[in-house]
Amino acid sequence: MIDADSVMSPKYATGYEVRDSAGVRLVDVDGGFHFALVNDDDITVPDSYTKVKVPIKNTICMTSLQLSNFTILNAHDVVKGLTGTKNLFNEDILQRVKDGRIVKIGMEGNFDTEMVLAANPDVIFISPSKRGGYDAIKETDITLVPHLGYQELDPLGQAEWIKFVGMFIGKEKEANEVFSGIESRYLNLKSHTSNIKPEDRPTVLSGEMHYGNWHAVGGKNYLAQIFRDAGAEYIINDEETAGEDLEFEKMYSLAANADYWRILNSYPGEFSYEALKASEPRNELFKAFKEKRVIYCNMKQTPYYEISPVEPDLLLKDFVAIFHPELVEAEYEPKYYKLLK
Amino acid sequence: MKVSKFIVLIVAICVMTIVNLLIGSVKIPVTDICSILTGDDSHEIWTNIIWKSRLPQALTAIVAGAGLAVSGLQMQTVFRNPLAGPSVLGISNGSALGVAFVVLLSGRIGGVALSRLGYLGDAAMSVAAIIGALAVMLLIVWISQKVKGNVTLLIIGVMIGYLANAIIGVLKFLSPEEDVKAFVVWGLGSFSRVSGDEMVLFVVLMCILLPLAFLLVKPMNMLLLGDRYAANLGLNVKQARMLVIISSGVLVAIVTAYCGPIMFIGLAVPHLTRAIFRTSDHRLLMPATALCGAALALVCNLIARMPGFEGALPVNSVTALVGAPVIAYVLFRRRRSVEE
Repeated sequence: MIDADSVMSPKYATGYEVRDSAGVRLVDVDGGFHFALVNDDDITVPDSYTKVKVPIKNTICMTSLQLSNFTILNAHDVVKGLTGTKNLFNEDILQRVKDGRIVKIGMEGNFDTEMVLAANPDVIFISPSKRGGYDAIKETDITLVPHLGYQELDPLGQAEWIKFVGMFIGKEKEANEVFSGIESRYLNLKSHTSNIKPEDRPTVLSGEMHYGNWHAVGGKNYLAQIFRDAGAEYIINDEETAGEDLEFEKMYSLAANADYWRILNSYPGEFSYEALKASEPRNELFKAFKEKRVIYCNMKQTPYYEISPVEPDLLLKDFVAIFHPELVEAEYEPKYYKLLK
Repeated sequence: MKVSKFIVLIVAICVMTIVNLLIGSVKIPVTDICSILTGDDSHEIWTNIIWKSRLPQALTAIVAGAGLAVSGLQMQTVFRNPLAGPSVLGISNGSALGVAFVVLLSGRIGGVALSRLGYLGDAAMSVAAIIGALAVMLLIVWISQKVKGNVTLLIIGVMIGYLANAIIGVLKFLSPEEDVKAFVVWGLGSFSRVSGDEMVLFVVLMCILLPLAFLLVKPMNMLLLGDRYAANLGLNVKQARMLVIISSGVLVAIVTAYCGPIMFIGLAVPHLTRAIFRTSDHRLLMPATALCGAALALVCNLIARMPGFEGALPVNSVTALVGAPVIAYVLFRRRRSVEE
């Protein structure tokens, strides 16, 4: 039996709910997915719940965000398959892919069903999107578990999916410990920035223009939340989450005088202000460009998506170190974002 | 009569250019725009929006629209086929293929060199698009010297287009989602990508190429009579055909490189112009088509940027949504008046 003390309903995550009922752990995932986690196959579970025997031994991850949950829990041995290894840095994972302990199953929309079956997963964590390709896998009777961490708007909520994965792989205790560490570090830093007066909060813009449009993340986005928690003000203050494509003139009128400019890309080689200007001549019109206040992370040099989802505290600290350096120790070495020289 | 129509068109272009400067997703009072245009730069942001965003966009729309329309007219004449357009010989597919190689394959083949190109963004796209389009065009020109019939050439062109599309399909399939998205966005077409020195270069190039195209009106008039007639009149048909195809192809290649593949204008504007001017004399038709193309592109650019849409409408959708009904209406009315 699963003991009642280890119940972990999420505090920040909104994509799943957990409750115990008669010794069965019931997990409800947004979008009408219900799983009953049992230790013993003989236990009967409520109708409409899919029975999953835990801890699972084999699984496949569909996204690097999911993989980060396994990495932080030291559970790479459970991962038997990935969609791909592009921009992946983790040496342990790369070694496992190299010697065949982890297989590549192909990208969403076109899975190699044979590889999926060969990986022999108990469940597959999926990240539902419109591209689909899951029907072929459903045919094989493998349980598909949606991992909705990417939908969380709160950085801590996204990190809290560690607990979700922890339940499936029998590492609840570790997951709780890891998460409360993240939580306390994040909240501690946030408490220092929360009383910064509005006039002392620098403004930030984000993203780059491509082919005439600027994809701007919305004011309720994960990133906007981190900016706020780091004591800055994101230039878009709306209710949008994903974001929208803005024309240059719209973005420029919003952000021309923003103090900082955050950019994440995979520029081959050393990114620079010259490269930023070369990609779009009008970039030099922004104040953040003129004053050389571009906050930059290169995904080709820094492992970003594969680990940052479980390190929101470090992301936050990187930003605080730039916006309010006096709040961070002087010798702090940022992991993801640095001011572009 | 004809002269007054030209004057109306030119006035329409001027008016549309001004409206394009006045209206955008950011609200700027008319009085401020006037003072900015007369050299006042006290409001830096608005000044930059007018000079570095709206004006380049309007100029781009004018020359791109004119170029595509002229190119379409040339194709329709050379193939004596009302459904011919700039895309019919696979030339735009060729530029799409060039861009696909850069966007989708960057970092996979050729390592750093190519992927650097991929990132350098819009400038690299332009180069790749021109290379792709010109490569296909040269192939077509070479074939045009080998085969006799226009229809054969047309079919070969369409086949080359399919071939390019097939390769693009494979590349897309093998690429990660964000790269595919980037490619799709490129394919939507836009007049707002070009700015700064690039825009100047684009406008200058078009200002050279369009008059060159006008030099071909005489052979085009003869081609209209049929190959035999033209040959009897002393025209070297093969050579004339080749020159018109090259001129048309280069125009499409350059426009596609800077604005992405913009559909519809090239196919529809020549019909619209013939309906308005009721002539098939290229001495009139060529300049008139260029002006109509410029005017229509300006209208479409304006609609795509109307407050509320804010760049959400791709130019390609607008050209078809706006252009198709207008042109259908014009053709329909002309038809009726002829029947009456």
